[in-house]
Amino acid sequence: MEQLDRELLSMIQSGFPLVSRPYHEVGLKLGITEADVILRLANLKDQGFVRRIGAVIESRALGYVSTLCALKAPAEKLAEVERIVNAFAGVTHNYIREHELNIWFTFMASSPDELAKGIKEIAEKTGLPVNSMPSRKTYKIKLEFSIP
Amino acid sequence: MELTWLDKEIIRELQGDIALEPQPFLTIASRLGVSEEEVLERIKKLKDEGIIRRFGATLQHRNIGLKANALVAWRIPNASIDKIGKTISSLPQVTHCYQRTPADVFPYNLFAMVHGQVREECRELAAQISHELGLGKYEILFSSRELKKTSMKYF
Repeated sequence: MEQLDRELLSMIQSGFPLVSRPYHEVGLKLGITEADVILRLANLKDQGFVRRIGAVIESRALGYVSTLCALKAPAEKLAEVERIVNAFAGVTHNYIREHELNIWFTFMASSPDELAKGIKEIAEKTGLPVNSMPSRKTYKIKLEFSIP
Repeated sequence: MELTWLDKEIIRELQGDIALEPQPFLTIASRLGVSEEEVLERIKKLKDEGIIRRFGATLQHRNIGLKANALVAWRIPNASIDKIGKTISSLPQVTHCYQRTPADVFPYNLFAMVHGQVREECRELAAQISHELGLGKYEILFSSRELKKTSMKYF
């Protein structure tokens, strides 16, 4: 990745200017034109470095509750479990991890009742126990990276 | 904070991807029938009130070279967990750190997400943290496949 792109991405992970012409503003800081900023960002998106530019919403501030769930899916059931879990809109992240508990997903809902219902439904549909580990305290959520 | 219809519409627009054009907020304002100024004001208010946690680019960390992603979990006594959680959180390679209610089959209460270019980096960091803070046994679970990764759609 070009150094200038690295600088651009580092700058806009959190400090995206909330002004009428944000890309122009970013360009001023980097010494390039608004058009160049827009072109670079289009490229960075096409190449898969940037997922999106927008707002990360604090779900808890909207009254949502969430939890981290883990289950143990036998190899022959993996595809089915993936399909069942992914189908829930409240599941935003789902990973296979290297452990006996091999499926880990985050699940959020608009109320504790909805959350419990959703987890129960996943358990019923997969036929597997779902272990829910809700957060008691958040020490850090900062999805910002130093680009290697 | 009581959300107005405009707040909800703005959240709906911003939870996706804003336009790569000179005035992306004007585009949103036009769609909603309000002024660009009002949109920007509302966004700033949502940010100040903590409803918008961050506004900016979300990167695909695997594609930028951070291929190793590990969930590291420890079992920490209640008396020291807050201090330990804050200390671990100060490390840049740690993006998330939570105190969680343990599960019977996974009896750990402090969880951290650690990222690195290669797995060895994550392993070394986890070992270093445990050693220097005297945390004892821990589990390190690498992600081997991403099955779903989306941003939640509210409203």
